Amino acid sequence: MTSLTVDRVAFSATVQDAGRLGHLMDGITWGGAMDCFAHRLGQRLVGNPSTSASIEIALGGFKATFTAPACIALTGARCSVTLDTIPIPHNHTIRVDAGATLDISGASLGTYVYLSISGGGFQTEPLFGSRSVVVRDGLGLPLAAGASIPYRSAITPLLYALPPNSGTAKSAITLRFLPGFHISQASEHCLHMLESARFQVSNQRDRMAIAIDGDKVVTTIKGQWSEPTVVGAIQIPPDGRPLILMADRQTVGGYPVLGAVLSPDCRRLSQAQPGTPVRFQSVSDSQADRILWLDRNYEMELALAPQPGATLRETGEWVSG
Amino acid sequence: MLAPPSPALTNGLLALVEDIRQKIGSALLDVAIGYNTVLLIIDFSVIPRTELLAWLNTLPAPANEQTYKSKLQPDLTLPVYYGHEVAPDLEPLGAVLGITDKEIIELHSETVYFAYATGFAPGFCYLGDIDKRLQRPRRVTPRPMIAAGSVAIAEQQTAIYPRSSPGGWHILGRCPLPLFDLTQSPPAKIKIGQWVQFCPIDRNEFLKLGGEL
Repeated sequence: MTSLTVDRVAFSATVQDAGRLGHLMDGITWGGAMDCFAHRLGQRLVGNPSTSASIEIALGGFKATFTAPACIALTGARCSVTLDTIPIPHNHTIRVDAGATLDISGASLGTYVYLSISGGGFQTEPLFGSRSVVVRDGLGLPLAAGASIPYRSAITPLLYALPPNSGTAKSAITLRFLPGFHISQASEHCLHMLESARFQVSNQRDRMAIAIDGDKVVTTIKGQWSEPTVVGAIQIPPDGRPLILMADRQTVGGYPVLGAVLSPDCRRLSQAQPGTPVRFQSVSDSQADRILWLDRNYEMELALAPQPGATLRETGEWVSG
Repeated sequence: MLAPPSPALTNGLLALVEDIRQKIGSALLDVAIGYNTVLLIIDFSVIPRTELLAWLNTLPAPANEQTYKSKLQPDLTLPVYYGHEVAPDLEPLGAVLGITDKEIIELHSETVYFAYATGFAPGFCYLGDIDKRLQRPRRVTPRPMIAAGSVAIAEQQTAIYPRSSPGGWHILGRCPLPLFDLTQSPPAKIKIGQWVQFCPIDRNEFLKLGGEL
């Protein structure tokens, strides 16, 4: 099989797909793309199912050489990208030839950039039905210079283009969340504080969790028996600094949980840079249903619409808006 | 309010999960069990939420016995080398508790433990309850790195660290067997609901079984 040879990784790059569901009982976390929308968009642009594997590059900074022709797409965080020194755009299907070198700069906006490839994605060995790497748990390895990542050489018949990714904006983000069942033990004050206080994305963040700086959140919830966690869980450790659990979350946790952030907002959070203002807003079940329904519809619209070279929409929220 | 954890509750939760799996099949994408909670990940495009919730409400609450009864016969026996070279907390713990190393080892290996929950890391299983005389809070400062296989205690719990990782529990020994093996199905050695006992072994046996010092 042909492969992509990694020349340089500035920070961290891993192979990710839709995640490893079904093994929480063995303590195996899901993993999967942090900005799963950007990941799916990339797979769409190269004609793959969304369960295919891409390379997730944290903070940009990645150089690699293709050994066989393919089509690729870059989605997610904004970076300057060149193919054999010629600049190439985000959110386009790009044809690459054997021997071509891709050079991705550091991210200028956003956190995670995704490299997708035609022919069904990167073909690393799946573990429990997924290629997602969870470094902490020894499920796969992070990419390093010299690594070879196999792929099937294939050319996508249609060339797609989607509008420039306005996502990953520096503007404030609202984390809409469903209150969890611990909330019944929390004081009114606690929820009010969470919804009215000013917060910002901390620089303490990784694929496991993102810390939120700002006013301390004091809960009156007593110590918990360890219980299963969800992606988006708003954990309140004793220091009162909320943690939002992300793709590589630990499968059980003992901290009080005030609620769970809806998936579209988790994606925005995953792309937000440290210092981005954050506020929390609780939503009802029916509001959450509507938000998620609109989100799915928006994505289906994207999936149905692409035409060769077409631009789908001039403005609006894209990818991680 | 949540029911307090007990082996009866855990067995009830396991049975509940099986019932749900029978009912909704592939709509159940993932399941996790905590000490007294269950997480169900459900594809609501397969079964509507209102329908599922209505059905869940018809199920009886899992039985729960408040009293903890230890089982006499373990489902799984795991060898543990309780040597000082792999047990940095054996001596300090003895000093704090006012008992000898030998007594700690006896107390720890005599009890048959129940596997309440998995998580934290692949193959990590929360076992309990340890003898009251051994119960201590977690270390004030967690160790940055604990060797794979380390057998440790904290509060009413005991567990084995499947991989080397940071940890705040008190280390009493080391198990030479892999607790999480990707080549096995399932990969985790201990399953929720099992009864587990530790069997003291000496240094030679530890090495013979593949243990690393």
